[in-house]
Order: sequence, then C-alpha cells, then structure tokens
Amino acid sequence: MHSSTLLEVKDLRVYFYTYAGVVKAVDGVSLSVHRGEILCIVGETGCGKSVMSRALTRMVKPPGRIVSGEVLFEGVDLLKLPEKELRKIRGREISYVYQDPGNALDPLYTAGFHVAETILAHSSSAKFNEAWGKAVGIFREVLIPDPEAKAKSYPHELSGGMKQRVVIATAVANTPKLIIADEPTTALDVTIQAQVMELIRGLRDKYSSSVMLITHNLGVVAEVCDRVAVMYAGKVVEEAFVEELFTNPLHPYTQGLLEAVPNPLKKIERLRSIHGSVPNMIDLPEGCRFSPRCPHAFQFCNKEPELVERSKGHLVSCWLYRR
Amino acid sequence: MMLKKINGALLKSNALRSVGSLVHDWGLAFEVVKRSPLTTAGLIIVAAFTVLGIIGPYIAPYNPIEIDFSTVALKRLQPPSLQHPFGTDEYGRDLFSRVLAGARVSLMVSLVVMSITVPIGLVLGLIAGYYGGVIDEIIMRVTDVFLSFPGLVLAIAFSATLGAGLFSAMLALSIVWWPSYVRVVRAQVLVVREQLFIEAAKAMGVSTRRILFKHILPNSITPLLVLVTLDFGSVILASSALSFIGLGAQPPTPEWGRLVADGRRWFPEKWWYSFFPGLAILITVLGFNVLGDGLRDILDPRFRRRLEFRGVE
Repeated sequence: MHSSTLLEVKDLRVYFYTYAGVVKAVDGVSLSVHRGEILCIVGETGCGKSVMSRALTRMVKPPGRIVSGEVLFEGVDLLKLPEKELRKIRGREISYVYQDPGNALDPLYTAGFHVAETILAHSSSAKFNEAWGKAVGIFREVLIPDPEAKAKSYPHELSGGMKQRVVIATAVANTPKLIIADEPTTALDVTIQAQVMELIRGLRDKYSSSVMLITHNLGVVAEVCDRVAVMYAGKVVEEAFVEELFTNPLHPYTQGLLEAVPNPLKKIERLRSIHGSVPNMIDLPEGCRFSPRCPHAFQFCNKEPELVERSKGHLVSCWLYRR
Repeated sequence: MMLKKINGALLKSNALRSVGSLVHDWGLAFEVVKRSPLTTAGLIIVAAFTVLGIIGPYIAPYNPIEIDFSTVALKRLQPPSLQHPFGTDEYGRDLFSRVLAGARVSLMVSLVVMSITVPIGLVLGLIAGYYGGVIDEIIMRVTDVFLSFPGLVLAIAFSATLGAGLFSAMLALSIVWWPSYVRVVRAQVLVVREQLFIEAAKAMGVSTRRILFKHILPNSITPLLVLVTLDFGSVILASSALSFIGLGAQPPTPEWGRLVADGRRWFPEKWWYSFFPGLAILITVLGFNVLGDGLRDILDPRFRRRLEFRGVE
C-alpha cells in the first residue's frame, strides 16, 4: 500500500435486491484516495457514484446490500468493522456533505446545534456550551457572515447557500481526514456554486484533508480536482490526473463526455452527444458495459475489460488499449 | 414583546426546547388563535375546565359530598334558583357544587389515562417505526387485535372484569386507548426516518438513541399532540359513559356521567338533575375537540404558509 494512500477501495459491489431483480448499482469499483488530494468521481446520473460513496461507511439502506469488497481506510477494512467502531469513524474521520442542504438539516434545531451535536458525538467530555462556542468558530471559518446570530437561526431562516455552508461546517467540525461531497453544488445557483467550491478547496488546504467530490459537472472537475475517476454503469472506466484526462482522454466514454461539453475555443455547429442511454442496471450488457453505445466497439468487447495502468497514474478499462 | 419573552424562556428550558421549536413562530400561532374564534373558544373552555378541575372543590359554595340530614326533606330536588344555580339532588346536595367537583374527577381520569397511554404509544411507535421487521410486525399485530374491537365495548368488558370503580375504569380506558397512539406515532416515524437529515445525523456519528429521541421523536410528535388534545374529550366522554352504566365512579363521587345516570330516575320532571352534568360533559368535550382542530391548523405548515400569504406576520 502506498504510504500517501488514505483510502483504498477494492472491488466494491453494492447490489439492490428489488422485486424487479437485482440492481447492480456498484459492481466492482476499485479506486484510491491519496492524502490531501481532491478526487473527483464523474459519471451520469444513476451510474452508482452516490451509492458507492455511501457504501464507504456502510450507509447503504435496504434493499441495498454491500455484497463484497474492501474499503481500507488507513489500512483498516471499514466493511468488517463493528457498527460501534464505525460510528466513531463517521463524522470524525470521514464525513459527508450532501447534495440537498435543505433536507440535510433537522428543521427543529438551530444551525449551530447541528455542528455542536457532531462535536459532542465524538467527545465524551465536552459540554454543550463549549461545543457551541467551537461551532461558532467553525461558522466563521466557513465564511458565514455574523456567525453568532446565524448559529442561532433555524434552517428555514437561512438561504440555500448558507445552509450548504452549515452542512459543510458540520462536515469539517471534527477536522476529518476525508470529506465526501456528493454533488454539493447541484442545488445551488451558479454564483454560489463557485463560492462553495472555493470554500471546499480552501478547507482542504487548511486541514490537509482529502476530498472525494462527486459531480457531473466537468467544469467543476477541471476547476478544483487533482485526480478524476470516471464511472460508468457501476464501474470505474478511467482514472487519471486532471490535466491528463482533459488533454488525453482514453476511454471512448470519457471522450464522449468531453465532446458533449461546449468548448469556448472551438466554434462548432452542434454538440456531440453519446448515442443511446445508460444501460438497464438489472439487465446489463455482456462484456464491456459501454460497448452498445461505443463508436469503436469490436469483437473483443463482449468480454469484460480490466482497469489497467496505461501510463503513470492513468488507468483505463478498454480493449482498445490492450491490442 | 411579552410573547417574545415567553418564547425566549421556552426555548431556553431544555425540556421545552423541542416542543417550543415545533411552533416556530409564537406570534403567528397567537394570530391564528385570535383569527379563529372557535379555537379561542376551545382554548377558553379547556383553560376554564383545567382551572376548575384544580380549584373547583375549594370554591364550591356547598360541600359536594356530605349530606346534611337535617335539611334533606326541605332541600331535596329543588329547581335551579339563585341559591342553587343548578338545583339540588335527591339528598339536598347542591348540584352546582357537585358538577364543579366533578370537573376534578374528569380531569384526573383523562390525565391519568393520557399519562399511561401516551408514553406507551410513543415508545412502541418509535420502536416499531424505526426498527421495522419482526419487532414492528409483533407490535402492530397486537395493536390490530385491540383495534378490532369497538373501544367502548372493550373498555366495558375490562372495566367489568376489573370490578366497578374509578381506578378500574381508568385502567380499562388505558388498555383500550394506547394502540391508536402506537399507530399514529409509527406512521409518522416511517415518514421522518427516511428524511435526509436522519441519514446525515447517522453519517456524522450521532448515536442511534440520540437520533431516535432528539431527531425522530420531536419531528413525529405533531400529529400525536393534536390527537391527544382531541382524545382528552373522548376519554372524558368514555369515562362518563362507564360511570353512566354504573362501572366507573361509585357514589358518592360526583362524576358527571354518574350524575346524569342518577338524575335519569327523576327525568323529565326534575330535568336539572341530568341536564347540568350533561351540559358540562358536552361543553368540555366540545372545547377539547375545537381546540384540537385549531391546534392542528397551527402546527400544520401548509396552513401557516396560507396565513403568511395573506400577509400575517
């Protein structure tokens, strides 16, 4: 194991046992997060990125089940840890920032209470007043104006951007080693999005935490990420440093994604789109999952490709590069 | 200003914090009460009933229980007059004093029944709703058994088995009453536990017990609060019914249902004997019902929004 590796996911599989059949939402994901980096997980809606992130601390709800795999966090397999030990990791070592800040806060409690509660959950000695004081300090760090007053506000009295800052404040309350941000800016408008991304990057620099940023916004990826993992239909298809990915995308799916985003430097009549749609997760195509939509599909593609390192730090799972 | 102060005090006290924050805006709640004359009437009736229940026996002009044998012949079954506003019964006792004293009995019965059934309903409902599975199945099938009988019939059966008396009536009513609370709490818990903030709390390492009692419970309590208010009246009615058929309070306890039953013998000539205790039951039950309806409106966020649209702040 690499010394700078914080989290290593090996062959994680999460299946949902529904009446319609087994939905293989995450089907063999392997990736790693290094210390102090921002790793982006990119993919279409329904490709399993959120489920994968929740499975890291066993937060998958029934009928979903973690079928197999390892999640090594500083060498300890979280999937084998007893619930009691895992509770100590949640919110202290690994914390979450959710997509919808409006629902991530209990409407009956003040903003400061949420942060104080997270602090108290991991400290047996601290008093509520101390925790509250710390919470106000954290509010200041996440750039909430007038933190004393805002700490006493109820969620419905705060704007969307402010609520997301409160959610971020609860996430960083115990200076975790890994922050998992699941589309943290989707519910916010564009001007606030930039501020929140800037904030997350600033906090990473300050606490030297790692961030796993889940997004489908390639602009965000280019802006803040160090490394990118592209997911398709429950699998990682490509993993690379951000410059490498944008200048030299290898997987046809990544190429398609990048062509589907307008490039201000090129004048084009129409944006290219990827043909077809995301496969049915119950009845997946055989072999490479992208092959039915892939412009380069050939006879090899009916077998499943493996994720292999093509150049330093650049992994891809496609038969095109194994000939 | 005064309201702000009360609100602040409520929010500071830990026990009341969750209930206090259920009503986010006390000024608005006050406005709702003011705008709905029915709710105001209900509130006044319930307040009066509670106060009379506490101090009634002390302000009663005559002793509600003791019989003054020297004046029985002279005073028995007198029609309402200035001296005896509700008239007198067959032993010459002042009915006004007896009805006043009856308020305490009714208040006690409803309070005892609620303080037994509400905690049972809360705990079982929380467990059934949060954990689900086999525990849920067991709890809910037991409540189904209880709810498959008409409540009052079941209460009569239990009360008769336990023997006549106020205590056994309270016990019987408690046995019959808790299952509906389990259902209401469970249904609400099922909704609340799927909310993102519950998952968020879990993801932050908050303990299950704390999630249950600090997040799920306060968020599930609103419908129960309304139901309990409405049921206060129903419990009074049911205990009066038990007393009416001779199972609840025994003489000389001045229970309203009992008074109505006793007066039946002299009805309709001595109409006041049954009429005034019956009126007391009617008004009290009505008061609780109207207040319950008003409370539902105050605690319902949709209603709040409607008022805000109308520019009430």
